[in-house]
Amino acid sequence: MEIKSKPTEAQSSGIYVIKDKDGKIIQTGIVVCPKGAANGDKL
Amino acid sequence: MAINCNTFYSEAVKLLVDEAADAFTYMAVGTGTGQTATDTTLKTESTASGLTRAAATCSSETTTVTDDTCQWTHTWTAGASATITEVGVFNNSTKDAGDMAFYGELSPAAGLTSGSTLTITCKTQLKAAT
Repeated sequence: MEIKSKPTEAQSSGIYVIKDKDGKIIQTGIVVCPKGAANGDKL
Repeated sequence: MAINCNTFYSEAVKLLVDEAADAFTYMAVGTGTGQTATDTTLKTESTASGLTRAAATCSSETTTVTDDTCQWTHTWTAGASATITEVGVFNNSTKDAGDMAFYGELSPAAGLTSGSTLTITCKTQLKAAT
């Protein structure tokens, strides 16, 4: 019987926050893959 | 989602088996786009005042299984107006040097004015594929 382990997946994400000099949040956003790039690559 | 670069895997495996490798403890931002998993640098790494490569705050976090997630975060303070479009995680403190673990583009682009701060948090979870 062949026993195979499940592949391991590395899944990445990111967020960002911009604050002004007074510490007020002025923009938020996310980190994304470049258009057409793969994500969730497997080891 | 963002990209896990090829050198993320090679350096991670070497660290697991105690071969010579460098931990990924630096973050950089830039003004380019379009890098892929085979790249080891940002497209256009920033040299602007306050927006250069820096040591990140690194930690293991829990997403599904205890401590299954790498987390890197850093806050930059812009010395002048700038528009940042990309971010990467590296294992070297020098611009355009070392290996890149993580690459992503900011959506939307981050518009900074002098004195404003940009805090980016990047995460990579290792888990069994579904």
